Order: sequence, then structure tokens, then C-alpha cells
Amino acid sequence: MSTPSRKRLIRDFKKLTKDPPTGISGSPVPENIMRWNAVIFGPENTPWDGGTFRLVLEFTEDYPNKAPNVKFVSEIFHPNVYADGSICLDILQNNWSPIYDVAAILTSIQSLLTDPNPNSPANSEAARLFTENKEEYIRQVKLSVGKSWEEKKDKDEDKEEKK
Amino acid sequence: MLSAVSVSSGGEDDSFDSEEDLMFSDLSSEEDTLMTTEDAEHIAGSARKSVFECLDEASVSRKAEALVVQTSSLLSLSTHEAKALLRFYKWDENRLNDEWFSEEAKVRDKVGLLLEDRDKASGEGTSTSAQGAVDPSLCGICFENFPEDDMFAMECGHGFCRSCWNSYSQTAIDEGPSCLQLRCIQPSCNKLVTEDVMLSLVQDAARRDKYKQFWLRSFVEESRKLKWCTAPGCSMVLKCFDCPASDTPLDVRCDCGHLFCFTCGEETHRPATCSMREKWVIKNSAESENLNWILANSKPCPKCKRPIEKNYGCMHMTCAVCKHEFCWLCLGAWSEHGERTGGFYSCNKYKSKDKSRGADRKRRDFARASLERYMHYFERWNANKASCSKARETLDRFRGLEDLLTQVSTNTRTPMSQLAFIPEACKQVIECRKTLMWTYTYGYYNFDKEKAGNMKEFFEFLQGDAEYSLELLHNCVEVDLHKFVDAENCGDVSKGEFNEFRSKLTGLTKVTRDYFEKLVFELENGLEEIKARYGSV
Repeated sequence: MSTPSRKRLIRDFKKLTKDPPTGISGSPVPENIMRWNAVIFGPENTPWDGGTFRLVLEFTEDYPNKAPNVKFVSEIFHPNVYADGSICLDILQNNWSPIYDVAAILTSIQSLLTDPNPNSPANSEAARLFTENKEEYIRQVKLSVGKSWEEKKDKDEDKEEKK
Repeated sequence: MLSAVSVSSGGEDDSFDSEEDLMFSDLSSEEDTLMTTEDAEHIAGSARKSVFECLDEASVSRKAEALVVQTSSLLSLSTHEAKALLRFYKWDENRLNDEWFSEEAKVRDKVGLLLEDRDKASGEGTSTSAQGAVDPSLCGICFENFPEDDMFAMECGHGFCRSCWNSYSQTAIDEGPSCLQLRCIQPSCNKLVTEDVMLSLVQDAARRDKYKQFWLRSFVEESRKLKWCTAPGCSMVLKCFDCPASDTPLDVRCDCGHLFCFTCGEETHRPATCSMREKWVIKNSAESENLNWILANSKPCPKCKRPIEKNYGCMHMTCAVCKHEFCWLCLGAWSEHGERTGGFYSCNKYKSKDKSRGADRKRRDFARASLERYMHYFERWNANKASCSKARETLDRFRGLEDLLTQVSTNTRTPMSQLAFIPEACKQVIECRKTLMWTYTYGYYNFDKEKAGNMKEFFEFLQGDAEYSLELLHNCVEVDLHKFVDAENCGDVSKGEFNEFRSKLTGLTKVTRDYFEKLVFELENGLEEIKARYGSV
């Protein structure tokens, strides 16, 4: 089936494979181009360095006129990420434009990691620490980084065990 | 009326009698005057001379268009630009003009209208830079190449293919009224998608209609002077020429017959203010369910005053809390029931309530008193509400299936044209019940605690007067009328008897209306006149 949204997603995929932005990877799940798995690597020289944060993107037939639903699958300690992994980011809500593609979305989320907006907190504890206690904030972020890696390792181990 | 106040506290009954005499002497002169429908309108708009008009959608559209044309010629702009500006300023042309002539550039920026002389090429650079491509025939959304004719850009120069523009606009319309302020696809660009552009992009008829409807809705819903009629299914618009302050109720009647408060859009609620009505309704929804049940199914224990539910058949009750034994019927102590009162199980002695109460239990009494106070007002508010809907049913029965009026007409050999006074009286009852209902809300919020002093007494006196007159009227139109409806009785009905009924009913209608107008007037003016005359506490 080829619809404008699917066609566009295939193009997004080609672009992402051909010209991947630093620290980002993403691909549709097998058999369903409307659902993508993605990984954002924590930017170097920041407390996020070394983190591998996994996300799921769900597109509708309205894409690119409507933003996809994007969620973190990995647990993450960030002022603009809700406990369920939903992200509070303007371009995913009101300021969405059809010229954004998957690369643009993931790059925006990547820069949100190091540049949070404590004024619209989704995780009030994280937002509070970010403004009031940077030291503790950084400690929590580093814990979060460690967890993202453990999680992944666990999953990998599961797979190996199954094999 | 006012002079009667000085003797108010004790002499209420007397004053009623004299008023009654008065009202009947009034009648004779009015006997043959029949009310017209115009009078009915008069009742609706009663005390406050409200200036409003009722418009249908077409004339509202014309008004909107006229305003747009006028603004566009004043500001030397296209009509769709003027329309966008007006919408932004909530259709308040004065505010728009003020701001436009003092800081046009700022207004243009806020609304998303570019300066006319902006060079098209200046926007061109930014349009494609986001995607890093320079090809003007490449659409930055679907990434296909198109011949120049299939590309589209507004004055800002951000070009995308027509098909992508089309789905962008359609999606916006599907999202709702926010499509009226849709901006250029290019995220950094502030350019507004004006009406002409929108309609040139969207070909789908249903969506075009929807878009036009959003404009009309914006005009009605955002202009302070306009309101949709709140009756379900009615698409009329009411225009008020002189809007009252935010909390001041204003009754308006749509041509469809629906009556509502222009200020808050809810049912009419004078003399209570809009905020009072809202508080009251919230309070009721929170408490009424419990309260209704308590009222219907329980009585307070005469000793500890806790509500008691009677769950067994016998009248001999024992309070589960204080163990007080009493009689369910008379609420007297069971120990006093015996031979003297006609045996233990035949409590038929009528005795006025004993008002004495112990001075202890203060704290509990206070909590109870506040609930009781609320219950007092709520019960009466609710009873009048019920009465009001009963009166509506009665009004419906005059016409329709039962066609009571025709029966009266046949039975009394009176032409229908001369029976208008009957539904008229009934409409008056409905209006008054509604007003009376809200006077209880007014009373609840205005005369809290004892601090209200004699203002409360005066309020209750006025309210009592009006209520008494209304009871007479209500009784007359519901009970007395039956004599003339019943076909079996009609043989005995003399012309004179019917004439007497007519003069009584028209008289009562008039007197009751006067009472209520006075009541509403006094209450809305905070009993100022009375304060001035007698001084507040």
C-alpha cells in the first residue's frame, strides 16, 4: 500500500540511512512502516555521554501533516519527559510543521537532552533539581545513563538466553 | 408598599388583606382588556428595559461582512486582511483602529501580515535552506520535483507543492477553529494563511463550508455584543446594544421563544447574579443528592438532631446514636405517649412545634444550623423549580392534545380570541416561579449570618408578599380554571361567573407582575431605597 504518509516515511528512512545525524539511529519495525524504533545516544562531553536511550515513534496516515506519537522506552530522568516516556516538546505538539522529518524529530529530542526547558516540567523533581541543585541533577542524569545501558544489556542477555 | 414596611414585622397578614382589596378594585377597570402577545414579550423582558435584537445566521453574516468592508476601506487593506485583523482583536474595531494607527508594524507582526513592500526574493532564501536544497522545483515536504505551476507560495515565498499545501490546509480545518490563524508551513515563518489563500487551496466543499462556518462562529462567539441562542438546535444570534457588567444578569428572549441570561448564557436567574447562580448550582450538585434523600427519607432525632431513617414499620423509634425514644409522627418523646394522647399507637394530637432548645451543644448546633440554613433555601428553591415546570406543563395542556382552551371556549361560549388572558396568566406564573426560585439563592448568599439584620427581614417581607400573590395566581389558573374545563359542570356556569373568573385572573396577573418587578428591582439595587429610608444596621 502506498499512501502519501508511507511514501514520505520511506523517504525519511532512506535519508536517515544515507545521511544519519550524529548520535541518532532509527528504523521502521519489520512489516510496519508506521511504527519506528529509534535510539538516541547521549551527546559527548555532557552528563548524558554514553547513554543509549530507546524510543518508539508511531505515525498516522496524517503524517507529515500531523506529528507522530513519540515516547521514550528507556527510563530517563529529564525535566521534559513524563513517567510514561511521553515527551513535552513544542514541535511534537503545537509547533509541528510538515517539513519536519524523522531526522529532525530525533535531532530535536537529542538537543532537548542537554537543553531542557524547566518552565514546562513533565517531571517536576527533575525540573526542580535542574534549577536548584545542578550537582544532584547531574548525578541523577548519570544514574539514568547507567540504567539505559543496563536495560539494553538485560534485553540483549535475554535474547542470548533464548538462543 | 413602602409605607407598609414600617409595620412589617408584626402586621404582615393585615397588609395582605388591604392589598387584596386594592387589587380587586383595580380589576373592574381592566376587565375587558385582553392581553396581546406583545404583553407577553413585555413580561419576558420585564423590569429592565433591555436593548437587544434577534438575528438569523444570514443577517449576522451580513453584519460581519459589513464590518469587514468598512474596516478594509478604513485601513486600506484587502478584505481578507481586515477580517484577520478583526478576528485577532475579537471583532472590536475600535481597539483594532487604535493599535493599528499607533503601531502598525507590531500589529502586522502579531497577526502575521507581511508588509506589502517586502521583497518576495528575500523570503526565498529561507524557504529551502532548512532542507539544505536550493532547487525551487523541489517540494520540501514530499521531496518530489514539480513544474513551477504546481508549486505554491504566499508572499513570504516559502514554496511547496500544491498537493502538500492542500493537505496542510485541510488538516488544519479538520483540527478546528484554530485554522483561522494558520501560519505558513515554514516553521520560522509567521505569515498568516488568509481566507483567500485558504479557499484557493481547499477545493473540498464540506471543508470550505466548515471553514466559513468557523469565521461566523468566531464573529459571534468572540464579539462581546453577540451570543448564540442557547436553546438546543436554535441557530439564532442575539445582539445586545448595551452590554451589562460581567456579573450583571440580563434576560433576553430569542425569537424561538427561548429565554436566557445574556451575560452567562445560562437559564435566567434574576435577581441572583451570574456568579451567585454558578456557586449555587455547584453547591447543589455537590450536596443535593444527599440532601434530597435526607429530606425525603429521614427526620432529625428530636434529641440529638441527627437524621434518622425509618427502616421498620412501627412509629416507636429509638435513635441509634443517643438512644432517645420518640414517635415518628409527632417527634415527641415516646414516654409521653400513652392514654393522654389517645393511646401509644394513635398519635393524632395536633400541637404547634416546641421551639425551646437547650443552650448546650453549641458546636454541633452551629454545624447543623449551617446545613439547615442551606436546606431551608434549597428546599424552597427546589420547590419553586418544580412548581415552575408544573406550570410549564399546564401551559402545554392549554394547547396540544388536551386542548383545554378549546374546551373552556366551548363550555363558556366564549370566543378563543378572548381567552388569551389564561395562557398569559400561566406564563406569568412561570416567570415568577423562576424569579422566586432565584430569590432564595439571592437570600442564601446575601443574608449570611445575623449581620444582615433588618435587611433580611425586609427581603423576606418583599419576598413573602410576592410569593403570596403568586400563590393566589397559581391557584387561580390551575384550580379555579377547572370549573370551566369540566364539561359536566359547564351547564351550571353562568356568563357572570366566568366574567368574574376572568377579572380575578387578569387582576392577579397584573398585581403579581407588579410585585415581582418591584421585588427584582429592589433586590438588584441592593435594597438601596430601603437603606436610604431606614438606614442599615
